Amino acid sequence: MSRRFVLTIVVLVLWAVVLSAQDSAAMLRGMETRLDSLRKVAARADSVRFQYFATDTVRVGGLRIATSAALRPVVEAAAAEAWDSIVARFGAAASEGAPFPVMQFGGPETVLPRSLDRRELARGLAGPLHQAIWRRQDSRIDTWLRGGFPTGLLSEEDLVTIGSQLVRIPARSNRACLDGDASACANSLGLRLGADTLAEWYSPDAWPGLAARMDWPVTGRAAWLRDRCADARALDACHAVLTPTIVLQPVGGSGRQLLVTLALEAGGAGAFGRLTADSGATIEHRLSAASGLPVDTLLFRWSHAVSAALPGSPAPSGMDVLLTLAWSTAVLLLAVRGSRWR
Amino acid sequence: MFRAVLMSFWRESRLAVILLAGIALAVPLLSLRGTWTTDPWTAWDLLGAAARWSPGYPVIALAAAMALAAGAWWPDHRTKHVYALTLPVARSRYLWLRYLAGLALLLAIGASLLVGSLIATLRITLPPLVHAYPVALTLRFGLAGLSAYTVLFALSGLTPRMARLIVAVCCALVIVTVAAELLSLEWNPIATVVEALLGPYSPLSIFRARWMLIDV
Amino acid sequence: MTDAIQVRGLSYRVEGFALRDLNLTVPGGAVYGFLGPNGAGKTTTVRLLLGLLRPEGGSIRVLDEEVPADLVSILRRVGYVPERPHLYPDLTVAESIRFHAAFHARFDHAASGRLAARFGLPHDRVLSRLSKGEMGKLMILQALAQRPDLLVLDEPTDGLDPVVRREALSAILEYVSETGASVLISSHLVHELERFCDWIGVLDQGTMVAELPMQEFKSGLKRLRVGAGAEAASAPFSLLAREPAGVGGELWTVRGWRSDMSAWFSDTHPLREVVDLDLEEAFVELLRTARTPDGRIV
Repeated sequence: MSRRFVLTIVVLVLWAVVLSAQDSAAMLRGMETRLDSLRKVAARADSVRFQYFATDTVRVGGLRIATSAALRPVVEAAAAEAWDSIVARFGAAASEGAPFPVMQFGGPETVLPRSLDRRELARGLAGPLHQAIWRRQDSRIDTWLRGGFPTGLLSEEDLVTIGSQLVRIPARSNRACLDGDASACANSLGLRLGADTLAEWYSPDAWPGLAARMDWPVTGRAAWLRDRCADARALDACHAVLTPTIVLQPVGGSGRQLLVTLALEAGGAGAFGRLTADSGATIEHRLSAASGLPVDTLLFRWSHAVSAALPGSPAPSGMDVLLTLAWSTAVLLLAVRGSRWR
Repeated sequence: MFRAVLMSFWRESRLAVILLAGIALAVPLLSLRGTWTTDPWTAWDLLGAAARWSPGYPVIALAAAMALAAGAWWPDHRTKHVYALTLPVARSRYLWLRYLAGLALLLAIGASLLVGSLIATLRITLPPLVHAYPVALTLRFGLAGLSAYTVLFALSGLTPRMARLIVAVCCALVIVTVAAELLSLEWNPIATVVEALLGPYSPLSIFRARWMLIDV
Repeated sequence: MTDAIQVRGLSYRVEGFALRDLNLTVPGGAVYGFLGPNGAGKTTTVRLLLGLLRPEGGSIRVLDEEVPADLVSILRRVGYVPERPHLYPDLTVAESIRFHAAFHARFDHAASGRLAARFGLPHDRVLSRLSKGEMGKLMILQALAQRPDLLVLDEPTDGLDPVVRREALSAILEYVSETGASVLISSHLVHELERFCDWIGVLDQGTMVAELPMQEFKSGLKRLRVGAGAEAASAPFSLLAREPAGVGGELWTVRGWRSDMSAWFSDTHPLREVVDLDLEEAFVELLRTARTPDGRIV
């Protein structure tokens, strides 16, 4: 009995050792291969679903949408609006990629929710095209955008997130940026960085905290460095582990997307073309070209938009108070009229 | 009369009120532990903790409303409303007395939240650009509690016949939703009802907000 | 004195039961025994009187005011003890009394204290932990201490032991003799009402079978022991029942009997004995004669 128990323990330990000794890069490669095959399965499923459900195809500009006959009028109107917005935003770049892959919207049994308005539907249809067009651009701007892409003006919630980041993240320039200092904003947005990103973004006393809060999975030596930085406050270890790729940005990707969106809005027609015309220029230069404004003005606008959206007090507004009182009175009056209490 | 009704309400709901008042006092205190130090990450930690605990406030408001609305009619339901209906007072007035007594206890829970929030925010020094909103949060809590309590009070006071009708409607909603799901219809009646209750200009729209005791 | 309760043509219907064209009068200052078997409609009638139910037709006047128009004013002057406990079960005895007092301007705290002591009610005990007898006594205490002009008691002593029942009824009688208040007491325990009611109303299957002064009710119903073979067709009284009793004799249950009617009997068919019926026997006979052979009310 005890021999079997010992044998089981030994087998388990050996198994654990083998598992822990596996090359993490090999594991990653394996996972990527599996992800690829899953993507293929998903694409096949999409195509089957398309064949099964679609009865009609809407064509507006470069947009092709498979949908049901019943939904066609709604989808057509929304697609027209979506294509107009794409052309307004991307100009010639929109037509260069057309026609885009067929999208599917709804099936024969789909009932549109009452709350879904045409504008919302248009935004939904335009989203994949935004992605497709941005993906075709040069890698420099893609890298700077951290893989995200601006689809239009950000939501109120996104602006609040950006504002919160400026307050919460103790980067050197964040607070000055929130006060409207364009140069500080440029630093926070990673527009004017030198060789030592970490030092330019954060003072050394914030480094151990950065290491303690990093959510990037690290193993081996990197993990050891992270622990040395976070626990022993060894600045050289901090410097080694907090590389530009993994260090927490003073402002996240949505902040950068907002800046691009503001530049395109300010630049009007042809702004996207000017943004992507010179792939060798700095981001700062390209944003200025796109917007037709000095970059500091653009940054000031950015800072102002973010400050204006800071959430502030959770106090109920006058409308909240009025609504609550009105609803409460109405409900109570109904209750008083209930048969038991008449 | 009001004192008598309040006293009876208190006797019937005191455990729930004490428990909820205790939680309302504790949540702000638990959410803001630590203080502004030279550590540059204080704002990160404080705001993160405040955000983590923030769903607690609407949940307490809803729980208080539910407990008080149930307590408002529980003794009358148990005695089939015979006593209440034979008291020499207009029925509508008795309903108001019960409603206001529950509201008074809701205020007590709100006061407890205010005390907890004030203590929590006064005992720490906030980092620059971070502000405390104990009174504003309590006001929102009070209004949210009021709106939820009113709706639930009205529902819990319904006659068994009306209550059965509402339960039947709810069941029908669930059945229709499941049927729509099975038929692959992209239509969700329950979501529509929830939207009608919580959406803009709806009775419970006050619940939709950032319930942050401290914020940027 | 005007009538304490006046009901005319009252009708009410629920599934499987109906009150039909009910007339009921409780004279002012009377103690009115509202009799009827279980399910006769006594509690329903009481609930209609107090506005707990809405009638389909007819009119109800209580203490010279209309139900339901003047309900609040009526309820100020009516003490009600229902069949089942109706007080808030989470309150203590003292709290329940205080709660009740808050709604009754005429509440007599001294009388309440005296009754509490007399009934031996534990002040600090929660109502849900009171015995059935204690709960019954508390309900009667609250009803009496509010100094009502009319007491409506719906089976107030049902299920109580004889000692508690006697205590409760004597407290009610004392109050009535002291204040001259009217009482409507519903019960199916007939002998309980016999001692102190001065009016009787008998309800069966939603119909008022009889309503008359107690004395008249009791004296008019007799059991006669007579010789066999007498012909009752021309009798000045109503023969309700006739059955053989021993050799050459019969027992007659009669209604509308007066002592001078003994002359009607002849020597061949002599009247041997006149037996008084107690209220319970009278009640049973009344119901028996009111119903058709298939159990319906005629």
